[in-house]
This record gives sequence, structure tokens and C-alpha cells, in this order.
Amino acid sequence: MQIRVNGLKKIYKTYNRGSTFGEVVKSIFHRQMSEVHALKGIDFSIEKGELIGFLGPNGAGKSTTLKILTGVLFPTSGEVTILGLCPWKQRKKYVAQIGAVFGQKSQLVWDIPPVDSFMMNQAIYRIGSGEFNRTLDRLTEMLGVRELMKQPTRNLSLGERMKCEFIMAMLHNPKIVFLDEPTIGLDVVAKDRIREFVEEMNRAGVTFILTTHDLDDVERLARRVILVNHGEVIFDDGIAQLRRYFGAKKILSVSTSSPCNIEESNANGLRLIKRLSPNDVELECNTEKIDLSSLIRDIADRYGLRDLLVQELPIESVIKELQK
Amino acid sequence: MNNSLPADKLRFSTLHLIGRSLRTAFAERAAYRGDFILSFTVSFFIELVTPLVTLLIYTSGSAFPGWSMQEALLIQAVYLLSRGIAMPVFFGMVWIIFEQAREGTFEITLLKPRSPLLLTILRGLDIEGLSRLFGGILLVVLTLRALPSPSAAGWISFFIFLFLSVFILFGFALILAASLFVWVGNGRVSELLESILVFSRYPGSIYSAALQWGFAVVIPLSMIALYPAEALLGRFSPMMFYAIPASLIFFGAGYFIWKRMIRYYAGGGG
Amino acid sequence: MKRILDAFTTLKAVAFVTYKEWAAYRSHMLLSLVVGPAFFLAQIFIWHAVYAGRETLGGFTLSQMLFYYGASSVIYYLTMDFADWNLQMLIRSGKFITYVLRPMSHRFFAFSQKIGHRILGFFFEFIPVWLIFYFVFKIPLLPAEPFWAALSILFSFIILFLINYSTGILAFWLTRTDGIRALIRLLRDLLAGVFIPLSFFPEIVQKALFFMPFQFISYVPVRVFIGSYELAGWKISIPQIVAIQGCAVIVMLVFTEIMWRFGIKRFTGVGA
Repeated sequence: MQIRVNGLKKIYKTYNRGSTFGEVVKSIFHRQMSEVHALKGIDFSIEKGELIGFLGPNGAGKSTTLKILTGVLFPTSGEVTILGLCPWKQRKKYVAQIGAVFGQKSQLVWDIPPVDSFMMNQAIYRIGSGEFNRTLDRLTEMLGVRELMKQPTRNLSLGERMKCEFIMAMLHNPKIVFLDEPTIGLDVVAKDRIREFVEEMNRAGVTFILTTHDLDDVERLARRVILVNHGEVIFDDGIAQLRRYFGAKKILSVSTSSPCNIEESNANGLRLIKRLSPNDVELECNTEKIDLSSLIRDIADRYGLRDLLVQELPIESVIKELQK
Repeated sequence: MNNSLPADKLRFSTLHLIGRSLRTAFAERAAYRGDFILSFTVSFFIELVTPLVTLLIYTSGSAFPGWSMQEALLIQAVYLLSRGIAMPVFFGMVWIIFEQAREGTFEITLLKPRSPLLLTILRGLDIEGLSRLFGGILLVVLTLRALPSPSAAGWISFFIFLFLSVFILFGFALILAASLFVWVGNGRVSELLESILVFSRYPGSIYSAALQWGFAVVIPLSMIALYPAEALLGRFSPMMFYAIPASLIFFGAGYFIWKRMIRYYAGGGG
Repeated sequence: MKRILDAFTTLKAVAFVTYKEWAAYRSHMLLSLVVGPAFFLAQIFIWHAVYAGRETLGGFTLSQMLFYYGASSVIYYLTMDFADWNLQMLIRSGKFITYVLRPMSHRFFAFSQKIGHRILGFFFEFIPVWLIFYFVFKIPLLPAEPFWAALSILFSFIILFLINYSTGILAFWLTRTDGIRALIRLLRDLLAGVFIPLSFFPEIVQKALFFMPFQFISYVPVRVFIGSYELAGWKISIPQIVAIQGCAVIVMLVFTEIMWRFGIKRFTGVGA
């Protein structure tokens, strides 16, 4: 086990200052304290080389957990062991082996070329020049930024900058990389490139923990999802399991020759999601209750089938359900 | 990847880091050349206001009792010199923390396998502040030329006191930066500092005896410029020597407060 | 007449919003209660020492000198602004374009902001500091001639705004204005008598300073407050110097307007 988290709890103390003038004055003399239970007992473990999607609504305890995992925050109680180290107790030794990319916090210096920031990281992480040059060559080749990195950061587009942020995070060959909204604001092509890069590095053995609200990222990259809400883990399993959480449901988009009302005859296991016209419907089908091929034959026989699309339940709806 | 480097390779790598940081600081500032030259010059002239006022006081026929004009100006020249060393090195840190505490980006510093203090200082290296150093050296040389040469004891004491002076200013920088973790976004920190440091630029005789002791052992403001100047002038006093441990304690207090604030930040305060 | 009423309504609205905006930062303003008196305390020590065995210096007695610095301090809290920083920030970040799109002069808008901000400053800076001067330093800062003092302070309020605003306009031409703003602020304060009364400067310098706009920011209103005006050996009556100050306001208005026209041409010319 590369990462092990046990019984993680985090309680924040906040002071209520009050909103009316009277309350504010009172608060100068006696501060009312309230406790926020950000984490109520988080457990999970991650093996080397996994690619985990770490999801949850804002305020769920996601960022708190991540900060603890990266050694930046220490918990109220609980244990974390990563690479045999305790992140916040052995911070310097630990962070030398991890990397992080923040979609919204840049690590590059704005007015100078990224390559200068890279060399700064070389000095900070104490990377030997031979090893540094090899790694830099490999990463710039993979992401195609060899010439770009010599221009001041402010001249680069967002996509180009994110590629450089990734390089910055991986120059010291970290074993684990934390990604926080890495594709935010990027165009489709750039997103694709970044995802390919992450996949390639993951195949080479780097563990990734991905935090994002972009579920395309999750569907494309993650094989396992940990869902956090109200300070607790509410789901921890593979993506396929996530999709099948509410039973083996499939979405059927059907276009028929004559008006279709199949949902009336199959009340159990079939649900109408959307009716676009008398001949076009979107149905949710529970394949544990209804045989999919007989259903399709049934629709074709009764109404005449013009077009058919069978899809998995989108994770978005599963997650929304789980978060309720 | 090698985590356990032999001791001297470690020292070398810190020097390497400092070297890299200096290059980055230069490159960053050079991105706006014209403004840099102007800012560089102006920050020097701003510091000349106090000596100018002193000059005008003396030319209008008055004086600080017991101090000739050159002697009084020497205090202010030493002040400029000490600031010239401390500001480019230590005070950029205050503005880095100001921004990072406000935007929540201090985490990035904590994600690196180095002392956060070292990284923040290096990130904040300010080439612009060097104008004070050059100006301070110039002013000290100019004022000393009109005064009798200091003795060997004077020079030795001067350098010891100057060293302590820089550390006191470093201590102030640590306290200011630490305060920004609690009073996030307080842009007036430098004004607060200036309103304290103003008392360090004048002859001790303008204060009561009690206050002079206060500026020697409670908050050693007099060690910043007055005592190093007095050392050069051969005017030694018992207060000076009590100020030596006081200066070290003050710096220690600043360092302690900084460490406490980092812990507060990492504990999720605020 | 209607136009004036409209303008007044806008002014009130902007000032009120700015007041509320800054009220969230009251505690920042309260720092002035430490900073201002601390600087003044240093002056007390300095001048007490310098005046040992003398009656007058630079045309002031000791109590007059301290009154000078006290008055400078409180007048500063009535008239200060950072219109230069605000404007250059808007231009640099590109947010300025939202103001070009409004049917309102940005200068007037910024001026209304200053009024709102200074009203807050009146309550959280001027009054507390004035009280500290009265009770702690035992210096009652009362103007010799209240009407002229008020008028002079009003002119100073406007002139300082125009000077700072003009400095901000430089951002149309320069990418970074930190250096030049620092220089202008330094000269402005030095030549306005903030650090030392202007009567200490050599007479030739004083003569030159008379014709520059800086004295009208601080030196003139402080002198009017004290009740007697003198510079370069010229003694001028209070009503007359305030009248001259009024002319300086008009000159600065014209100057700022010209600078603005050039600046905005450059801005829109670059392609908005």
C-alpha cells in the first residue's frame, strides 16, 4: 500500500462575530466559538500506480483531505502513511517525492520564461544536472513545449501554461502527483493532450490523485472513484461500479416511425426521461428487470425503429444522487 | 532519486538555490527595465528626506544638542546602510506573504522540500532595494570624511553593531510577515513599521533617560543606527552593551513568532 | 440647473457605495490612530531638543512648530486619496474599459469615490486622531479662522485629487508606473511642506515653490489653519492666499483635462 488513511478527522474552530452591531460589540468581550467538523473519519488506501478520481461537492472535505495528504495541513486525529512517511510530521522528506498541479494556482513565475522556473525547481529539489536535463527533455518532448518554454510565461496561452505547470510538477520524478482542477478553462484539444500525458505517466507507474469537477476528466482517466460528502467517504470503488450503483441502468434514445408509448406497457423497469416529440423519446431502462434485446425488438415491431442509441448512465446523475 | 545527500553537497545545493534565486530576481525586475531604473533611484531619494531635514535644521542655525551636523547625519547614513542590507534581502518576504496569505497560495511553498522561510526570503529578493545599500555606503563615507577617523575598537564595534542592526530589521520583517497570516490583507504593515522605525534615526539625547533604556533593551531601536554610529564616533555607553543580548532576543522573538504562525496556518487557522 | 442636480445625485450614489465598500475595512483605517500619532510623537522629541535655548526657528516658535505638524497630520486625513493607484490599476488590468462605456466622466466618478472614502476617513481617522491630539498631546487643533480654513481644506482636497489623478493618467503611456508615482509622491510631499515647513528651504527654492502647485496641497491649508501665511519672505493675507489657492484649483482642472484628452485618445486609439 502506497497510501493509507485511517480515521482522519479535522475539526475547525471558528469564531462567531455576529452580524448586528450589538452582537459584534459583545463578541469583543466574549467570543462564541463553534466547531466545524470538516472531516468526520476518512479511511481509504491506494496502491502504487493507481489513478483515483477524488470527488465531492464544494465544502465536502475534499480540499481539507488533500491538504492533509500533501502535508500542508495537520488533522485533529487520525493517521496517514504515504510512502512509509507521515506527511505533516516528515514534511520535507515527504514532499520531495510528491508533486502537485493546481489549475487555479500557478507555480510559474509570471514575467520570466518557464524554463527559468524549471531551473529554480532543480535547485529547490536538488536534482543533479544530468538527471534534470534528461527528465526535462523527455517531458518537453511529450508535451511539445520545447520552444515555448523559453518565452515569458505571460506570453503563453492557458493550455501552453498548463503543460508547463505539469512539467514543473514532475521534474523531480515524483512517485505521487496530486491534480487539482488541472483542465479548468482549457479548450478541447489542450484537455485531450493533458489527459494523454497523465495516462502515459500513469502507465509508467506514477500514482495520480485527481480532484476535479470536470466529469469528462474522471470518465476518461480514473479507474477508481472516491466520493466525499459531509466529511465522510460515501463511495469508494471502480468507475464501472459507480455506473451500476443504481442497478444496471442504461439510457435509450429512440426515434420511431409512429408515435411511441412503450413506457406505458413496461411500467416496471422502464422510465420515461424525456419526450422530444411523439416519435422521439429518451428512456431509462433497468436491465436487471428488462431484457434489453427483447425491449428493442418490441419497440421495432410495434412502432418501427428509425434510430437507436444505447448509453451508460452518466456519472453526473449518479454522483448527484449519491450526494443527496 | 537521491534524498540523502552528503553534508557538503547539501551546503552546495543551498548556495546553488540562492544563486538561482538571485538570477530569477534580476530577470523578473529586468522585464520592466525603464520603471526599474526609476524605482531604483526613487527608493534611494526617499530615504534622503530625513538627512535633508536634518541638514535644513542645522543650516537654519539650530542643532541636536551635543551633536554636530556631520555626527547627526552619520546616524542617518548608517540607518540607510543597514536598511540597504536588510531590505533587499528580508523585506520582499513581507509582500510575498501578503499575497500568498490572501490568495491561499502559501501551500505551494509548503509543498517544497525546503524551509518555507528560506524559500519565501529567496522569492522576495528585491534588487530595487540595493539602491539604499549603495546610497548608504556613499553617505557613510561622505560623513565620515568630515569626522575624525574611528579607532580600531570603533570599527570592530561598528561591524558587530551593524550585524545586529540587520538582524533586528530581519526580526521586524519576520513579525510583519507573521502578522499577515492573522491579519490577512493588511496593506498598511509597512506604514506601521515606519512609524516605529522613525525613532531610530535620531540622537539618543532627544529622549528621556528612561526611553533611551527602553530603546536599548526593550525594543532595541537604538541598535539599528544610533549605536553603530556612536561606535564610529568613539562614544561608548553601558546601554549599548545591554542592547547586544536584547537585539539577539528580539530577533529570536521574531523567529519564534514566524514559526508559530506557520504552525497556525498549517493547523487550518482562518 | 437640472444637470447640477443630476450630477449631485450621482455623486451621492457613488460616494455612498464607496463608503459602504470601505466600511468593511474600518479596522485598516483605525491603524492611522497608531501611525499618525507615532510620527507626531517623534516630531515632539525632535523639536523639543532642537529648540533648546531658542525662541524661534524658521519663523516658528516651538508650540507653533508642533501645531504645524499637528495640523498637517489632521488635514492629511481630511484630504488624502490614492486616485493615482486606483486609476493606474484600472488601466493596467483593462477594467478601465467598463468606465469608458458608461455615460459618466471617470474623473467625476473617482472624485465621488474620494468623497465617500474620506467621509469614512472623517469618522475613523480625522476625529479619533484629532481627539488624541487634544487629550493626549494637549494640542487643541482649532483653526484661527474656521471659514477660510474650511475653504482652504476644500481646495486642497480638490487639488490633491487632481494631482494624483493626473499621475494615474500616466498609465495610458507606461506599462508600470510604480517608479514615477513614487517619485511624484515624494516630490509632492516634500515640496508641500509635509516633512518640514517650507520656510526652512533656501529662499531661492522657496520663491520657486511659490509658483508650483504643491504648496497648495498642504502648506497653504496648514498655514491658513494656523492663521498666518508666509513664504519666501512674502506675507500674504489669509483671504488672498485662499483666493490664489482657488486659482490653482482652476489651473489644475485645466491641466488634468488636457492630460485626460491626450490619454483617452491614446487608449481608444489603441483599439478598444
